[in-house]
Amino acid sequence: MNMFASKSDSQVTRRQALKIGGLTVTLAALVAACGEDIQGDTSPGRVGYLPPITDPPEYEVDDAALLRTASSLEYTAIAVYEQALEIGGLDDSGQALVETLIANHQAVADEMGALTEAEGGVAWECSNPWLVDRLITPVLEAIKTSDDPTRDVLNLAVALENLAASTHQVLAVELSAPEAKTATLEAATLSSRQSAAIVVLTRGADGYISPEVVGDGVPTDPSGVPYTYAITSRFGSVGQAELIVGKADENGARETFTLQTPAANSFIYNELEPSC
Amino acid sequence: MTPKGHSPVDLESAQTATSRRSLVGALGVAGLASAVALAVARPVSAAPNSPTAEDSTILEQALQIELAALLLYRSALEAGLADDAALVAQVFGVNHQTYANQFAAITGISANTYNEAFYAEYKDRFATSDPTEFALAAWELENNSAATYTELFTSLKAVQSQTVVASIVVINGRMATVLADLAGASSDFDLLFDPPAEIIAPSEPQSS
Repeated sequence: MNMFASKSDSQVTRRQALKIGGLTVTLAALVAACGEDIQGDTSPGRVGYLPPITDPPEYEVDDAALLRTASSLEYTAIAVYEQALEIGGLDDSGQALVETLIANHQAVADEMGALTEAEGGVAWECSNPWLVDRLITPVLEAIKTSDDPTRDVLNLAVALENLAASTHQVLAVELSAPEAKTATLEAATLSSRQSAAIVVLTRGADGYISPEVVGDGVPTDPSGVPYTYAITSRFGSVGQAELIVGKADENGARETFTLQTPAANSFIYNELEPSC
Repeated sequence: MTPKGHSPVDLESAQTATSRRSLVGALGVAGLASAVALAVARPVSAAPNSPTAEDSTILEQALQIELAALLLYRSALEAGLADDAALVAQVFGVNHQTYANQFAAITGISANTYNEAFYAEYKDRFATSDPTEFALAAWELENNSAATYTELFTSLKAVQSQTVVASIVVINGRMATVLADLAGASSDFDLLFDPPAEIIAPSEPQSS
């Protein structure tokens, strides 16, 4: 008996059945996709386990909400700097700088709070929950096990000042009340000065101007982390930025976090209750 | 008075907004405006997008200040600045030239005139090879520029005008911080974060 002949001659082998079945499913999916009466879930397909997508709330974004968001960034920066003071290890000049930065952010937060109330809103006096959950907490966790926590804390401080500067820069255009526009533009300039100050006080003249400004690449330190600079572009950037922190893995890679100016998912809407 | 040496004029005659530079500049501004639009999703305001006639009058004055600043940084380089100070003067001068071109791009005004009074006020202090003297003069200039832009900001009506000015004033602050360090004053946090500043007066432009 020829076993091979027997298999190849049968009408529907197991392999063929699987092929036919697969083809049928594919065609059915194609037909269904082309159909006019689409039913069921129309959201994009997802593979693997991921947290469910949550739609941002559909609350009104008025001047008060934008000013509350501005306040939340200031309080986020204050919280981070206070943690840096608690951790210690700063020399006298570093301690004095951090205390000045906290005072400056508190002054801006107070001004944003007063402007919020002037717009009929309730002043926000907490950190930004979305930023804390998605950025600050994981970054600080990564820094705990870093090979160079000082480097990472400084880079985090620069990144937060840059984020505050970008956010206030955007808000200065978006807000409608003249006092609020001027206050946020001043806050943008102050955060820009603070970012630059952290860099020049730690890196000196080497940190003045990024080679990026003249079209070159940004060099990295011996551990492979990009250097920070006081001036990174000719115009104030409002684009997203990356922050690299933590200990390198076996491939030399470190955790990278993306910082973006607040949007629908991180606004402090008027309907939100304080979380602190 | 027309300053000797470099001319701020790099266009021989008045250019309209359809020149290549204007187009490139306009695209740059469009990019900035798009970034802002993406960053903050908010109902469209009633503000016009392109500079109004009143905006253009203000931005023309700003353009003339930027060209004067460019000349001042160039004069410092000619005077013999070296090392870090020379790099700073080179990059900051080009920054101001870029700002002038940006204003020209969004308004259609030619970038061929500068604020003579502003130039005259600083020219002797910039014409030095001493990095500290240069840095102090430039620090004052950048802080005054930042204060002036902040003062005039709410007078600007168009989104494009405000977007460009906001993106310049933050760099004025960064440049001032670098210059404070170059001048050896970065340990004084009051000077770094709350520096004295005066509003720059507009003046009758001088064609060169």
